[in-house]
Amino acid sequence: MDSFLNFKELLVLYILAVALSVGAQEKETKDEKPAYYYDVLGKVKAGLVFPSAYGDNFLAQNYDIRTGVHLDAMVKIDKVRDLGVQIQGIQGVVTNNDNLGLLESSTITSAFLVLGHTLLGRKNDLEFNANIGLGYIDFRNRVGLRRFNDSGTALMAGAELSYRLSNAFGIFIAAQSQWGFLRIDAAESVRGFLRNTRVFQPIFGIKFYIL
Amino acid sequence: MRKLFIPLFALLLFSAECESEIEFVGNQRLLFKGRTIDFQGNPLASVPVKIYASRNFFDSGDFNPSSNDELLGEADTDADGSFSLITLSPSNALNIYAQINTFNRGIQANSTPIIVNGINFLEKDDFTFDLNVFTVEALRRFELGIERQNNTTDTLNYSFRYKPEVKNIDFNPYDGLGPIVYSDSGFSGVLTPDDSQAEFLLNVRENDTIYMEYRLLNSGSSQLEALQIVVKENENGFVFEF
Repeated sequence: MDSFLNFKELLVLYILAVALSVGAQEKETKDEKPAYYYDVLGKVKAGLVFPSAYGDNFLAQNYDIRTGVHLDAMVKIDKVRDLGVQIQGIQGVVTNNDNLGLLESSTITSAFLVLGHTLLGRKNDLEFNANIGLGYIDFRNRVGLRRFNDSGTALMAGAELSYRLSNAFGIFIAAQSQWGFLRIDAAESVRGFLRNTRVFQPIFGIKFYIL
Repeated sequence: MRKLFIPLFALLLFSAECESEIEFVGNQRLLFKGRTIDFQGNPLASVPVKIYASRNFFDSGDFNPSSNDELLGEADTDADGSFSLITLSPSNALNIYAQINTFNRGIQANSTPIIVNGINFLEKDDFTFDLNVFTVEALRRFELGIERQNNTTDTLNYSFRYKPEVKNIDFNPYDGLGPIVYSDSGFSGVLTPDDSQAEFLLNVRENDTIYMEYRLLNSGSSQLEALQIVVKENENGFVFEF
């Protein structure tokens, strides 16, 4: 059984803490007009996810999860906060059928309502954001040609570093943790194993600024 | 018209095939658990257990599953003789059955295989089917012989009846036979005055009783006789002499 927070979760928290302290220092020295930040209405990102499941759960113990796709669209709601949606799709192949039955593979889709906070970079081209999200996770399971779904709620928290190459275009790198809470009915002894998923996700991609 | 008919026919076949397949319920898993012991009550480890879901209602599951029967999961019993299997939850299975101690594995070659039918009719508690305890009895190779000694004129009509080597347990309430069914195995034959002997090799359970009925036929006289043959620990066979 894993401890409450493992290394990957601690890493995300550490990055957030560092960014917060840097952001606080920056706050004290600003009030100049930023180069081009405030004119941004929103941001759209597309990237690749390199997920890694961990913990004592079926996804970590029985699946090989592959590189997935990440899309999000955020709208600025004030100077430092964004609100938007994030969608991810990941393919998982069952490598060990113990405690899973016949399952062969699953397409794991998650969708989140995300609140983002800009911690650093309000007046330059390097930007650091922290994001949290509440959403929905769905496993589209395959057994031969047959399909059925497992679904539930999910939480995400992550940090993102992006570099603005031009007014409308940039690149980003992010680290994100996702906690899935599937609504699977099962015997009490295996409920925790089948319901809870934890995934750490480095994400790389491109970012478009909506002006 | 012909061009349209062929794809339509293929589609019809495909949909019929799909209907006969086992489908699964989302957001649900089942747990099957139980325990195996030997005749003395000792736990039996490494006994293979397979759980199947079938679309056939009336055909009892056996050791040759039909192509539409779906293997939901398999496991071996642990050192305590216990097994526990998590499987997907079938939505349209008419019979869920277990094969315990299949023929082709390790220690099981000389023990009774068990078929458990109608598991889906058991009460499910916390998404768990508790199959309880199964006794896997030892099987014996037992030689039955018939030898003609002094009687050179009578024809012998004989029949043998004993418990089958596959133990069949059925929880299906609609067969009217109760929760546990031991159907008899048996065979019969005739020994004419020209035949001097007959031999049979059986797989029977230790301490089982083989029932023999016979009738000597000679110029119209006949009387049905019965005999009980107990499969004792140190005996490998029995010869009926007449």
